[in-house]
Amino acid sequence: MAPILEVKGVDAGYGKLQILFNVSMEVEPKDIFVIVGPNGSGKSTLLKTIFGLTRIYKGSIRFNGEEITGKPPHDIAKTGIAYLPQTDNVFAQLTVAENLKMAAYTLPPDLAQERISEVLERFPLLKARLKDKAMTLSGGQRQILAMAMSLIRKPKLMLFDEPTAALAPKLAAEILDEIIKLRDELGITIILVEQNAKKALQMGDKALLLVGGRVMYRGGAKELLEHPELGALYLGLKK
Amino acid sequence: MVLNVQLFLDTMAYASVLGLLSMSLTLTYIVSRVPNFAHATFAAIGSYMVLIVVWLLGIYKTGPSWGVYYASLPLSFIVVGAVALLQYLIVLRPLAKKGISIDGLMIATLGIDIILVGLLNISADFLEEIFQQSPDKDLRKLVTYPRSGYLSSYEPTIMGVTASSILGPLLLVVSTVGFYLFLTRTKFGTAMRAAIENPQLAETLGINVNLVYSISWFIAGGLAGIAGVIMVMTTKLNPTMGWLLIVSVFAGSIVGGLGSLFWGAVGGLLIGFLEQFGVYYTQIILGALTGETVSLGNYRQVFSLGAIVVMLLVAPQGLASLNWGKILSRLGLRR
Amino acid sequence: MPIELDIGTLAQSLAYFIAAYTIVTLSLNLEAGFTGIPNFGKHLFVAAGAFVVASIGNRLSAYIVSVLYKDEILKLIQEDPLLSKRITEADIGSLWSMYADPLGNRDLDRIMDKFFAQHPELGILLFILILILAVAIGGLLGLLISYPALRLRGEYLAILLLAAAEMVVMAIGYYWKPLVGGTTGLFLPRYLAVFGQKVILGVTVLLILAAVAMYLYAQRIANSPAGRMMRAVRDDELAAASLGKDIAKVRRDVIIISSAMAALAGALIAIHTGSVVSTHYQRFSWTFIPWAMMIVGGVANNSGVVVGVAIIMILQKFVDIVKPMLAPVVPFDPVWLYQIGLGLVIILMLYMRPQGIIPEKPSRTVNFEEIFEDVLEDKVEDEQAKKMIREGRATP
Repeated sequence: MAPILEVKGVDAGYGKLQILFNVSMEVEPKDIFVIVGPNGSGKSTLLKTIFGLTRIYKGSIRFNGEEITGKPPHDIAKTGIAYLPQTDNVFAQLTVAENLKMAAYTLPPDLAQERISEVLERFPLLKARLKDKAMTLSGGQRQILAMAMSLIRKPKLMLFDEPTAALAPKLAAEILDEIIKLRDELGITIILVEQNAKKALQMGDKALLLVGGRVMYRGGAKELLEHPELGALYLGLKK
Repeated sequence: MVLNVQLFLDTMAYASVLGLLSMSLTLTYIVSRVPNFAHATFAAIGSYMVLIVVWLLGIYKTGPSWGVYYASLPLSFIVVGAVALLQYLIVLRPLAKKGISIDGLMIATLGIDIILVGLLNISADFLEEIFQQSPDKDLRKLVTYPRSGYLSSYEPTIMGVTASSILGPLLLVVSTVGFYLFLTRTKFGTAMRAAIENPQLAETLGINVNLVYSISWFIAGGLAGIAGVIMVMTTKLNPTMGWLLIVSVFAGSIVGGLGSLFWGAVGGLLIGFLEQFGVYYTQIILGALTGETVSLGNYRQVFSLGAIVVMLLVAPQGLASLNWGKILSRLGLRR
Repeated sequence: MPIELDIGTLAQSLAYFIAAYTIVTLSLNLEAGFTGIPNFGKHLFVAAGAFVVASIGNRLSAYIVSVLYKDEILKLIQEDPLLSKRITEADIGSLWSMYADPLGNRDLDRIMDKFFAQHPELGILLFILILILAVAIGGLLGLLISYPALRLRGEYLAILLLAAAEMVVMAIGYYWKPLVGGTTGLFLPRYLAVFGQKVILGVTVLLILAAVAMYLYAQRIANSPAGRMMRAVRDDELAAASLGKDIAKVRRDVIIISSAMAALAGALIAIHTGSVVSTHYQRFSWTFIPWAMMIVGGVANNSGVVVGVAIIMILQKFVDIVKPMLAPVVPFDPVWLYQIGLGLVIILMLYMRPQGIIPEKPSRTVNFEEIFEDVLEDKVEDEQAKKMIREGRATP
């Protein structure tokens, strides 16, 4: 099967400050693709680069065969990619209902209403809190709201940037389960950046190990988990 | 002491002007995160629109007329709204994009203020020239107006009360309620709040953040413009009339906390009353002490300055940040 | 149309303005450039110096003269055909208050000038005393504002200082006669009668000397360990928090010193002009123009300040010369074009060259990390990315 996302030899960074060096990756449809690496290795920057939030100096990114290199984020969003940043991924001052309405901003009113009902079916806990401001939600609930907001646009590819950061272990597991369900039930391709490398590699199909902005490993997730040295060297996994 | 009714009515006009200005200043601050030092001069431009209307519609001949308001309110809204929009699009947005520090942005707004006052001075020179050269005897009488005109003589009265005392509060209430409904009940209003809170996220959702900010600046300028129309009925027309007024406007915004439009309006109103009544009662007290007539109207901004100092020291986040439930229950007003 | 140019007068006036603005802009640069304190009320501190000279100076000098030289001053008054009818021997006791009142000031000024012409040594003494008073009161004012300045966020402080300055200069200074004579202002005695006919030149030379001294002083502060610390703190709030109290003390000292400098300039300007009217100390002249000079010349660079001052002042003189030629052509006063032009200059400068003509020199103790941090601050907007780069291995 043709890959849904192709990143080829990308150099990227912020202004003149290069952070990614010659990064390449291929993501198969309906895979959970995990990006791991030590702190500051450029994992989040890679996600942002795919979503057009950094400067790309070299290389190309193709989504569904379409060139998206250098496009602005709102255009990339239209092609069917959703990006969930680690923080500030919902409007804290707006109610849950208003957040969802904003997620459906560009859709015609009827369709917007329909999609909002759909995601509320999927996440019943949001239904009970429609009138509450997002700032009153717990961290986990906020992640769910952010996910619901992305789903309204029926994305084909979702980019998650450390969705479990600062969550209690039990909540973190629940969020990761929801992510697996998105793939299993809706057939959405997932790219996941995770601090908890072990957990992420267990649920992932393919993985990329990024160190100092360079690719150190590309291949099966389970194989990286069982790799004799890489895990211990860079991910703090026990041998 | 008995409340002075006429003073109260006069104050209504002035306090609503400050309410409108503090509210609109707060709007630009929320959007661009820079205190706009040119904001009171925005109002001065609105004031000049009244003189132009009085001249062009021939109101200087016919005397007091509602035409003053019919024509100058929309005119000021559009002209000053456009000035504010240009300030955002040509100056503040490009500078902010370049990463200029807040000090740099503030001095840029001070520069805009100088430019606007310069343009008002040029206009005043022009108008003086036109009035002086006019064959129309009545128009020649207006020659001092561009630099020191009292335009209140052209405004109508309602049952003996000057229109500005009623129109001012009315405009403040209408714009505050209108804003509230717009921001909470309409999709674009909600998008405006979203874009202000988190522009990056809003952008990824397809909200045109730049459009939202541009419209905010236009509305803020427009409100400052209509504030200027009311303002000129309470004071003397002059190109630099905004220079002292900005003290009161900032005082209102700071009392409101520079974070909420509603509280900005409340802050401005409170400052208006504080200044007027502060001056009034201080005059009475000092008069009684010294046995002479004391006139302190020129020093009204002392109360504003005091309010800024006290507010920044006691509650730097403004009245909006206070726990009103707790305060009311302490006072025994609410259980 | 031929323009008559008196090069000598022009050069002298240019030198005076450059010297006065150099002192004020250097003091602004110490606060805003080096320390990050956005003083938008600089005109308050310049006005303070001038107001001390007019308000306290006039009363003090008239009082001293009326007590120590009662007979002499009385004789001078009686010789004056106008004043001899209005002021009698009994009034000598209230000479000090008459001289600070706009009604009595004008006439008495003639007498005071004559008196100091006869007693130049007393004039010099009073001049020095009043200068010290102005500087001291300026410093006290600095101490007063250092209290909010160390506690408030930049934009709140800017608002507060601007509001206070507008209040004092535009309202109290302009309307309250006992301060500096209200709308009409006050004349000052000719303290420096020692210079004879060349008194303006004399004061100009004094101002130039003061400007040179202030430049050397500002350079010393900038290159001292404290100065380097100030810049480090300005650029990194985290470091400011960790350095704590020391920094607060240095910042307070900077505010006091800068305020005293501005007051010194204000006092000398007043004595040069020979009179004080509050409208001379407006926001445009003594806050906006110094900011424009600093931004044009170079923020946090004393030599840059001097260059900026010179450029803007030469520009102003140029406008002064062109003005009479322009006046018949345009139907308005060309001075407004100068104001508008300055507003545009500052905005364009911020856009095209925010570091100024002469950018800030890297600190002499600079190390790689500092440069790295600067680049990072400059180029990367995202906080998270910054953190990542700091910890990580990415190379700039």
